[in-house]
Amino acid sequence: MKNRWLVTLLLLFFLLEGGLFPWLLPAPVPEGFAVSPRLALVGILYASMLRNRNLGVATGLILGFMQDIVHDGPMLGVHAVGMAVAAYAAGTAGMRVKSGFVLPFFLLAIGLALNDLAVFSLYRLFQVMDLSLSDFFARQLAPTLLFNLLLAVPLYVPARKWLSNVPDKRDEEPA
Amino acid sequence: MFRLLGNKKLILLLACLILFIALMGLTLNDDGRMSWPEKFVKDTVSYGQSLIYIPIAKMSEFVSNLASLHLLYEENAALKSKLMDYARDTARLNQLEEQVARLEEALAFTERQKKQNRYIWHYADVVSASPDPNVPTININKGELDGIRVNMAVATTDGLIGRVASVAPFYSTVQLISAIDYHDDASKAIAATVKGKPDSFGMIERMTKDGYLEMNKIPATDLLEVGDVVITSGYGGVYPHGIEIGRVVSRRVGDFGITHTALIEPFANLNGEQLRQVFVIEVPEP
Repeated sequence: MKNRWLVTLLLLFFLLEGGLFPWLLPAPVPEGFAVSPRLALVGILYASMLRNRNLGVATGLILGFMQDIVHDGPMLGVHAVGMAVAAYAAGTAGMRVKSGFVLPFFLLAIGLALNDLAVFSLYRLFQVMDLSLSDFFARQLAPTLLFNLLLAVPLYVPARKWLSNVPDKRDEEPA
Repeated sequence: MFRLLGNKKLILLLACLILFIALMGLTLNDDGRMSWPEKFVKDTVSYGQSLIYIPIAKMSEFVSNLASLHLLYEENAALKSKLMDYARDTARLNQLEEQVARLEEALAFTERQKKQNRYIWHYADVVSASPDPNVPTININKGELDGIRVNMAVATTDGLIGRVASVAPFYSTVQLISAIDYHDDASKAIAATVKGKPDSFGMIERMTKDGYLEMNKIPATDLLEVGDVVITSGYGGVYPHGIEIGRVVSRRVGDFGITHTALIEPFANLNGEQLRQVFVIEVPEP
């Protein structure tokens, strides 16, 4: 039941990404720099870290495909791969990190960076853009990470409370 | 050392990877055609996004209106003088239209030739903007059933902002001109000319990092100057003639020394953010 609510919430997050954030983003982002809101991915990473890795990977795939379809990416599956990889990595590492306050954010940052890197490298591989790696790091990844971590901090405590008080299903999988 | 992946998982992972790469390769350059599951997902999600975006856009406009309340008097005066201009222009337009119709008659224009400059402007609300900066698109609430087709030009009251990239029954996606890139086959260069200098020619092929449009292939003898207003020329068939794009800010000799390159500051807001209404421009088919 809680999983169902979680997926609904993540869908809502996804709608907010395209619908609300264009109005919320700090207006003076300098020309050439880009901040992309990844609220849904933050939610997915929390779900994957604190609750169930498989759930995270599955919702990552679904929302990633939704992103590619709804916002008309150059090809299907790019964000799906990025989000699934990020969720898998965060979930795998999160299994070993149950407490602490700094480490989860470190994992979160890694997950967000993994997604963006995967998307960037796939776009480069298929030659749909010519952004250089250094420009990508300085102009996209850094501001995006900063913005999303700021977004993620207030969500952490409610997420941990809500997500991790049920018996953990991760232990079923052979590690 | 713990094992990150079991053998079975590794094979599964590799299979997934191959599957995804194949999927990406197959869906690359699909000319905006969508399969029915894609259409379904797009319409459903866009509807959800519109429930958020449109009220917030209204609210934001209301707030900014309140903030600019003290400018109301000046704005009113400016609008009144615009209205006078408009009345004068309308009289002149009627006259010119009559004249054009007479001349077209005299030159035995076909129906198709007569119609080709009478664009239909479809008004549409924006329902969401892409969060991915590498894919600058917006979704609008008009689709196939409203007569929107792939590759129609899209503009705001300021100027050209892009073209329709894909169409679902009720919603469609607009690729903004900030996505223009000669590395990307999915974006289309804009054939452009200068307002008042119909012999000028250039191709807008790229957006620079600092937000200017790069217009290439301008003949060295071209009359284009800094400060000129650049409009679409209608050559190339994607963008119809006469939509304003921006103002020339600089001109220099191009990379190969044969043609010139100009930088153009676009009139419209191309951030894809905080756009409310756009117009889709339909060129009537015979």
